[in-house]
Amino acid sequence: MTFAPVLIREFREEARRPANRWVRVGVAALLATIFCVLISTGPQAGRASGDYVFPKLHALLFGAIWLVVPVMTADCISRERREGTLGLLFLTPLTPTGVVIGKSALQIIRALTLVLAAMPMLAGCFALGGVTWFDFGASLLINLTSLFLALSAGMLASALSREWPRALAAAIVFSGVGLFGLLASFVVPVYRGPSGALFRSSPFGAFSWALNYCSDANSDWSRMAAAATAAQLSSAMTGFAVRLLAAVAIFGFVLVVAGLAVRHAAQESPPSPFQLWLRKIFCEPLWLLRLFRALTRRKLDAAPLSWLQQRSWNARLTKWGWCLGLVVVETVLITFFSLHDFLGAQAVAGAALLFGISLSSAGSYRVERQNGVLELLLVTPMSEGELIRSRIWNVWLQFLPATAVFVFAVLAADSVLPNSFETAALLQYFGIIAATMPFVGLYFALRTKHFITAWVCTFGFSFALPLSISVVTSWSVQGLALPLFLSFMLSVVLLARAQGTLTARRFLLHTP
Amino acid sequence: MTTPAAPPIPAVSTANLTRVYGAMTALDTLNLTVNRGDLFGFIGSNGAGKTTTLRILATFLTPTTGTAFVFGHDVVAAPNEVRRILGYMPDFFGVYKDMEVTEYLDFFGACYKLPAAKREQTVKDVLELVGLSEKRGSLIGALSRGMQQRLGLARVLIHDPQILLLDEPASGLDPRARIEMMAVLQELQRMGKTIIISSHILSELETLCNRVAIIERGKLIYAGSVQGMEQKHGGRIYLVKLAADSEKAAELLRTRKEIAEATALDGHVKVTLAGADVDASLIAETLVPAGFRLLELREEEVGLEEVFLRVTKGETQ
Ligand SMILES: Nc1ncnc2c1ncn2[C@@H]1O[C@H](COP(=O)(O)OP(=O)(O)O)[C@@H](O)[C@H]1O
Ligand SMILES: [Mg+2]
Repeated sequence: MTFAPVLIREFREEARRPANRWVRVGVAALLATIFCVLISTGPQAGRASGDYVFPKLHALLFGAIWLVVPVMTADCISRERREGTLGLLFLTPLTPTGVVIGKSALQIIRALTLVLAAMPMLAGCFALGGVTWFDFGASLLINLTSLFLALSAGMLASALSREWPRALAAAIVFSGVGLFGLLASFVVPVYRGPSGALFRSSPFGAFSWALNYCSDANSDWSRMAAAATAAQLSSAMTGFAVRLLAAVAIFGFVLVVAGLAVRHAAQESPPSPFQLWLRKIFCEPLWLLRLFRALTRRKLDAAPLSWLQQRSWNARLTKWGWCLGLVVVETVLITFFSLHDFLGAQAVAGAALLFGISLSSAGSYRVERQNGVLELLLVTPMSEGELIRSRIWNVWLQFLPATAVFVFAVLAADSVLPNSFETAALLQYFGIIAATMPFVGLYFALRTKHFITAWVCTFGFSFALPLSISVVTSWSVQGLALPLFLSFMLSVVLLARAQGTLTARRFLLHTP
Repeated sequence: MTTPAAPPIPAVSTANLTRVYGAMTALDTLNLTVNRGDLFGFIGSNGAGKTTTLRILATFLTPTTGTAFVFGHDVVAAPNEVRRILGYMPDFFGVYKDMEVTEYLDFFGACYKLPAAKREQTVKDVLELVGLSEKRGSLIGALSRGMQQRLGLARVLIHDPQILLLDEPASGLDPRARIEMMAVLQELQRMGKTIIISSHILSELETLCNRVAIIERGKLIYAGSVQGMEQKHGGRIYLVKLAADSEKAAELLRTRKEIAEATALDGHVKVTLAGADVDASLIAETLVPAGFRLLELREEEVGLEEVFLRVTKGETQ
């Protein structure tokens, strides 16, 4: 099986992307900043600095692997399927598995650079003192295990998808499954063992213990290293190593499955009559379509661009799906959790909603850029300003119902349990980020070639930026003024640049 | 007493139109006039600057320098006036595959701010005109290339423009679809529309267009009728058969300024006269006094493609 040609091609393409250098420089700078901030905020009295910084760095890396790697990998095969270049590869003597292996090699290296970038800082913790070899080994093994599981999630999602939203969603779901599996591998032995009674009474608690253990959030490892015998430590280390081997095996298995899926996709076998029938009934119900058209006719007259954006079933599903999903999640939370925990979980619900908004924002006019309709629209009497206004307005509208559910849940819980959380800060952050995201997303959607880049930039600038400013200014509510001001300035600047991009026609995807 | 009528405003006129992309001059001081009612062929090889020109006329791009007027409206200063009377079909389809045919046209009608009451009838009419009436309820993704191209034409017609700009509308179509497309264009010309159609194949437009312009590397090389071009650049070709010394004969012939080109090939000399007004007897008058023995003098047919290659040759090298 040959895969070298694919590998070479992938590396050439990688080297040609100038953005990559900046992404790397940016990540390295971010890590260095966090490191400095952590050191400067200082350990409590009597503890060595390394002991304080190391678990935080490890947790950061652990989280980054599970979040970034699947997203980074998600579109690697599906993009080729979409662009029709996958079929071309099979005209050469390459086998599907060879293609998948060749493509995965680049992904492994890209993911490893993430770990490597953090290595100097993890090693620096040694110099600061208080970190043992056990900490270091456990961190490395757990992170590599996570890395292979996260890569498996991304590759599998990419091989099974054609469109990027599906690839991204599948990657996130698969990586959730992978993380669950990893945690379960720590939970199950204890559960079975003599001290399992506690876990049996609270499975949720068991998994949050496992998550804390894997991310070393409570500095469990250094306590273990101090208290446990050498035999216990080496058996724990063996356990980590076995998990890594299992993760590598899973990755290999995923590559084989991905190869099969890619071969199936390359043959593009026509859909069976049953599939056609299903599609006709559920995806193109003509009578429903007619009814829908009659109903939306008014909107087409008043605002054709809004009509265009709300036309697809996808847009409708996004709008009401998020609303419904949030209602279900809030109901489950309020039923099974204490009100205190319910309020605490709202930060996660808000972040999930912002994730949805970022997807929509970064996808602005992407289809229109690809099929050329944007060029056609710009030679109608429709102005650039109208295009921008309409898109931003529609992203807001799309998430209005879900946002209403979220805000209602927070306010209702807060009125029962006043002052138990910084509810005001939560809502203000949510408001700032949700309001600015469509501007940021629209700009990057117009300027970047690939959706994933647009999404990463959107999420980074509108979500991570204000939050990290708050972290640096240590979370004070008064500190809200700075992120608020910066987010506002950023959206004004990007709004002007989006207008400039449209006016100067710099969004063209297919320049000769 | 009647005052003499002012000359009618041309459909399109450009003056020193130039467009620069970075260091690359895609369009170089183009001066072009298209009259009302013309079916105008705009010809050039790939990368000659056709799309750039049409995009500027359609108000999609702005020129770096120079001016362009469409029915008297400046494309930079009054783009909305131009957009209302101009239909632009790019060299891609620009469709949503999951949209219905009527829905698509309805949408663009709304973008051109046609009132809803009028739109329904207009959509019906343009579909009729391009021959897509039976397909009105189909999804666009299910249409063939030729049908999608005709749908593009229907879209261009939705706001009843006076001038149509069509960028390589026939590329990628099979011969039958191409002929159908040409028939629709002729019908539109009869309806009084001005049509500019670009192509990289001259012969495709030879019978269709009443006037053509040829550009190469952003420069206008020729503008006028097809026949005019044949006369101007078609300088006839003669084959001269000699008893011996064809190399020397070619050398001698090249010294005459009325002869554009003379090359020797195995016993023959291929002679190209510089213009239509040059008499072929010149060849004999040059060769015989110099002592060459002329065996045969025969005229060769010059095809339109040959003319095109000749016109653009100096520029593409
Ligand atoms: N957006 C652009 N950026 C840079 N160069 C361009 C762009 N569009 C066109 N060009 C260049 O301008 C020249 C003319 O292009 P174009 O007008 O598309 O030619 P044609 O349509 O005749 O094939 C080409 O050399 C092309 O590479
Ligand atoms: Mg072109």
